[in-house]
Order: sequence, then C-alpha cells, then structure tokens
Amino acid sequence: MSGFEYIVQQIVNAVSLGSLYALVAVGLSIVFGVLRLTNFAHGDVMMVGAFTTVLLNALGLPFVPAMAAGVVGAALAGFLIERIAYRPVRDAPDVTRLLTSLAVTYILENLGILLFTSSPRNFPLPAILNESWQLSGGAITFTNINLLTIALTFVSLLLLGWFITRTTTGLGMRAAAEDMPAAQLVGLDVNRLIIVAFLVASAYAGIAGVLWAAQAGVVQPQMGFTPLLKAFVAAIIGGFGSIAGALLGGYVLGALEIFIVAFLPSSVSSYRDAIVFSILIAFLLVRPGGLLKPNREIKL
Amino acid sequence: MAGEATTLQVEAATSPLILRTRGLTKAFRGLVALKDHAIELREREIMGVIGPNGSGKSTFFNLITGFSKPNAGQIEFRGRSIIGLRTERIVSLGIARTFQGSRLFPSLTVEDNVLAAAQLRHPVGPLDSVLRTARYRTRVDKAEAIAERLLDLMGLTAQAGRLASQLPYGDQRRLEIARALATEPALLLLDEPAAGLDSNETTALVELIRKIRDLFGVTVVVVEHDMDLIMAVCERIQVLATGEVICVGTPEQVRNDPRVREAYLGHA
Repeated sequence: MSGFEYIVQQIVNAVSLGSLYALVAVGLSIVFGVLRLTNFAHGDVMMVGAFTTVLLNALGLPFVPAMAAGVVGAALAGFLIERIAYRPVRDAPDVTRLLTSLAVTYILENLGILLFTSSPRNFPLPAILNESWQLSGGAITFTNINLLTIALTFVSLLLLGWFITRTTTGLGMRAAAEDMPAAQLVGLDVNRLIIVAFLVASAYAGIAGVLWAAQAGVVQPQMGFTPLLKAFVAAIIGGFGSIAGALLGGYVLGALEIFIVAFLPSSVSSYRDAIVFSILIAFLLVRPGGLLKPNREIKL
Repeated sequence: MAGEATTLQVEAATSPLILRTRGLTKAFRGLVALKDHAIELREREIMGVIGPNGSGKSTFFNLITGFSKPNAGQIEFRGRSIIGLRTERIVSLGIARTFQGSRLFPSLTVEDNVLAAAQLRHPVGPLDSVLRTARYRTRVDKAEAIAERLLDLMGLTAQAGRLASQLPYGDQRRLEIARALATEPALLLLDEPAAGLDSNETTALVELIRKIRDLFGVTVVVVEHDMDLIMAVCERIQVLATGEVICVGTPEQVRNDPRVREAYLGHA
C-alpha cells in the first residue's frame, strides 16, 4: 500500500467518524442555542433512536422504515424530555438545570438497563450495508455504512442549514439563540421555538444513534455516553452554541482521532483519548471561545 | 405652539384609556424600587416618565412587559389585567418596548431583525415553512412589506442586508424602534431612546416619535434622562423619585414644580 492510498483511506475514515460527531454536536448546539443548557441527555436520545430501530426491526419492520421510526422515536423522546424535565426548571439557576440534565441521563440509561439489561445486542444491519468497496486494488476500502453515514450527514445538514437560514421558524430560532428576552419582547413564541429545537436536535440524535450503532454493530443502554462526550468536545472546539462551529468541530475531532491512530506509533496512539483531550485543553487556553467564537467566553 | 399643545391635551384627555396602573409596588430584597405607582395613559398620547437614577423608571417598564412581577398592585391594558402574563403574550396584546442601550439580534441582518418581530402578526408554522404553502407565501410577503415600510421610515433601507452589529449606534437605536413597531403595538415604550445620541440626532428623534404616533396611532411612553427630548416631545410628564410619583402634568407644569427641582437638585 502506498503512502498516498493510506492517506486517502484515513481521510475516508476521518470524514465518516467526523460526520457522526458533527451530527451529535449540531444537536447539542441547537438546544444550547435556545436554552443555554448543555443537554447531557442528548446521548441517551441517540440510544432511544437506536433501540427503537432494533426493536421494530425485530418485530418484523424492514430496516429502512425501522430506522425512520427510530428517528421519529428519538424526536419524541426529546420532546418529552423538554416537556417533563426541562420546562419546569427553565428559569432555575444554571446549576439546577445542569443537574436536571444529568439526572435525565441517569434515568434514561437505567430505564434502558431495566428494560433491556446492560449487555449489548446485535444491531441488525442489512447485509448490503456491510458490503465494502475496494479502490486501487484493495488499498482503499470503504463500506456502504461509511458511505451511508457520510451521505446521510451531508443531506441532513444541508436540510438543517436551509431550515435555519431560509424559513421563518429558523429565523425565530436564530433570534431566540441570540437574545432570549429580546425574542420574547418581539412576541416570538419561545415555548414553540424550544419545542421545535428539541424535535429537530433529537431527530438528528436519532439519525446519529442509528448510524453509530450500525458502525459499532451493537446497541446497549449506555451507548450514548461516548458519542455525547466526543460531541461535547467537538462543539467546544468549534465554538459552543454555534451550529457551524459544531459541524466544524465534529470534523476536526474526527480527523484528529483518526490521524493520531494512523500516523503515530501504536505505543503512543493507544493513548488517543488522552492526547485528544490534552490538545483540547491546550487549545482552549489559547482560544477559549473555540474556532468560530474567539472572543466569547464559554458559559455552561 | 402653546395653543397646539393645549388642543392635543384636550384630545388626549377625552380619548379612551389604554393603560392604567394602580398601587403598583415592587421591591428587590427589601429595597423598594417602585411604590404605590399609578398612571393613566390615553390612546395616542405621548407621555414622559422622568426621574433621577434609581427612581423606578425601568422597573415600571419591566413590570408592564412582564419581565418582573409586582409585589402588589394592578396593571390594566385596555381594561384587562396583564399581571402574570408571559412577555410574549403581553406583546401580542399590543405592548412593545425598546431597551436601555440596545438589545438587537446582533448577528442577524437589519431586515431579519424586523422580520423576526413581524412574524407575530403574520405567523407561519414550521410545516408551512417547510412545505412552502400558499399561506406561507402570503404571510411572508406581508411581513416583508411591513419590514420594508418600517426600514424606509427609519432611513435604514440601504442597510437592510448588513448585520445589526455593524450599524452605527444611532442607526441601531432606530432599528430597535422599527423592530418594536413590527409587532404592530398600540402602546410603545421607549427606554432612554436618546441615550448616546448627539443633539442633532435627538432633534430628529423628537420628529420621529411624533411621526410614529401620527402614522400608527400608538400611545408612546418615553423614559428618559434627557430633559430636552422629554420637554420637546411629551404632552404629559410623570416624575418619579425614589420609586414614588411626585408629580404629573404638562411639561410647563413639571418644569415649574418645586418638588421636581428638589428631586433633581436635592442630593446635588
């Protein structure tokens, strides 16, 4: 395998992984934008999406409709989380809201363990998605699930961009994200905007959850934790609360992780997460507001 | 000039009440910010509320717009109590305000700032937005027409595509008024609209406030430090000091009231 092909292969991997991080991080940013809340339960909404897909598929629903139902299920979960847990504490101090979000995480994960036990279950990926493509005589390999991840992320992020910048509701969401009291003062229905934000963010978590499970091959109740943590880092790298920043941060983080493993000796690369987080800390010292918000302080 | 003011005065006194407060009291941690406040505003009048720092002017606006809840008292807008209503609801009933300093949406364009507010009277649901229904088109067209008219009135048409944060300060203040008007209010509350403006801009603001009242038939309340602006534009003035109403009257009456002098000069 030549160096060039190796690099191309790593880029494919980085884009695929970065897409997942971006999908999750974008959802975090949407919710943060309207509520100024780090929604730790976002990872568990991914889990709801993945489990819904697995269960409905086991009941006989074909994969694609089951996946669509998973996305709807995730959106519904997000809607309920906002309605039941976050709305009552909306005007409470930040610490209260943060703890509420952690509580929702634990409740959902434990509910998952109660219902499905904590042992992993197989994710029923259709055989066609596991097929792989070989370029340059096998030097570059990517699977259909890689392609699906990249394509689905691309299409859904384009749709999101259109929704946020080209629709009246999107305009309302941008206004509310900029200044909530001013948004109320021009009569924007803040409750409705927050509901829409949760529906959209959670649907994206659902897509990400299904794709994450498809790549891992298994689902389990705590599956949301790692992607949530990674997406959180991605969002901070990009500039917390900025949707474009989350997107950028997702791909930067994906690339960092893949390239550390690909180009550093294995004795070093097994410390991948430690290296990534060290880079994050160093980066935040230089640019506390992230890539896109250099001057803004991060407030959690 | 004096005759004209008297006519307006009489007209205002006979037009229907739009806002009335009684016994309005607000304390923050034992500090009384507003005490037993009462005011009666009539349709289409321009009323000033003045007073030294900490006299309760901003508290008054915050209570009316639902940003804080009074400890006691009543607020009636067009005969119905608005205490306890959410800000969005109060705005939809027809009350709009601007903020001290500026509270624009800084990274939205000038036009989008106004369009965000124009949604209130011309709402489009997310589904209409996504499906681009006929209703979406007609309502967005209406909102855009209103935004265009308001930006033209404020002399901001050429800036429509710029980000709000890139506007010079005076333009930002006018944009905030345009945004407030886009909610099509019956009562417009202006919180220190002349702060940071030079004397030419202040003179222009006097004209603008009158023009707004005449064009849209709104009642305007101006909270202000700038005496020149207040005296020039207001038909009636209420003076607050340490949270209490000390006098209400025409600019002439207020100017000559010894209690007002004392309130302003007393601690000097």
